[in-house]
Amino acid sequence: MCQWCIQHGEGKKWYLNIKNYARKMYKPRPTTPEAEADLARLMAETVRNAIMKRGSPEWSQYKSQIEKLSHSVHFGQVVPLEDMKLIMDIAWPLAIMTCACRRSVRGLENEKNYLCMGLGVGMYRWEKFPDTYFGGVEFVDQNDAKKWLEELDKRGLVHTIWVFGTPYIGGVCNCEYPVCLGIRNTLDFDLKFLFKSEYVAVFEPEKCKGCKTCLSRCQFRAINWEVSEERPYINMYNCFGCGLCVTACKNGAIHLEERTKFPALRNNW
Amino acid sequence: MKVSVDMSKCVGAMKCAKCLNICPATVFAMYPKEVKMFEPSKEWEIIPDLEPLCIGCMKCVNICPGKAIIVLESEVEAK
Repeated sequence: MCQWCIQHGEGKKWYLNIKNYARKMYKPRPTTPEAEADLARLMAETVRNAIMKRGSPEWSQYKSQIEKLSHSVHFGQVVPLEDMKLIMDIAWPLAIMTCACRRSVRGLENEKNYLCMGLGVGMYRWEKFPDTYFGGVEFVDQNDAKKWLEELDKRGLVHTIWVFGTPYIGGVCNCEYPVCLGIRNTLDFDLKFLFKSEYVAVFEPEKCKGCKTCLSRCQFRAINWEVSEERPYINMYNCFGCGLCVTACKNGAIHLEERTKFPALRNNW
Repeated sequence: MKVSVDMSKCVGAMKCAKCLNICPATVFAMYPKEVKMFEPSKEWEIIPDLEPLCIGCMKCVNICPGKAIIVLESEVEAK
């Protein structure tokens, strides 16, 4: 149970609480697309200015201000594939859209960039203005959405959920380092924009055959190869519990367990 | 987490070494009991060297044949 489960979960995991997808929670965003772009630019500028101050005495003050802003408006959490499929059954409508991070960091063209998903009524506006919202959206049903997620899981992308005005969950992203600004800011700049999942990967060395498949899957620098033991080593403090190494392992040597089962990890988000 | 090893119950650090290999956080280390110059040490002991890294999975407690390891939750936790 993370702090969001305690605040917004009502006894469940917060992203499985149907109230967090309710239409009335959708806060009207700026009325014109230009104003929206300005808002995004303002956010990016604020973060950039803060990052410049790293190492200075004011840094901790900047950090807490920015995290406070992020936690009230826009933050994410890693969710493994199985739980993500449950979300597909709860939220509606489901609309596949282009990824803003990859567009701004790599300039990926729209055709290759349908890697994020918008949830809820906001997507009808996206559909209406395809030029403004970079390619528009493609509405899918639950089964197609699950297949789409499985495909991206095979390709090795981390599934995350994002709030748009806490606790309204309005987005599903499939992220990777370094293009995902959430992962980037969390790992490199110590700004907690992306929370770890409710699970953590547990490795069973006796089942491992040493194929090294899992090594290529981790986006969070939590797995390395232990040369003399001929097996991978999972650092459970760094593990975000995305489950990518679990779905890749052919021998079932890695599985996910509830983070709260481990006393030292249950406050590590 | 607070980890302690009761060496009077340990079945022999060099022979067993199960705790060294099962720990997912590599908390334990094996050291010679006494170090004498120019003499190979016969007795080794297990020390919870990197205790702050313990995640509390209890794997070592369950696998130890002599039931020598105790893991308690402490208030100070590693980051």
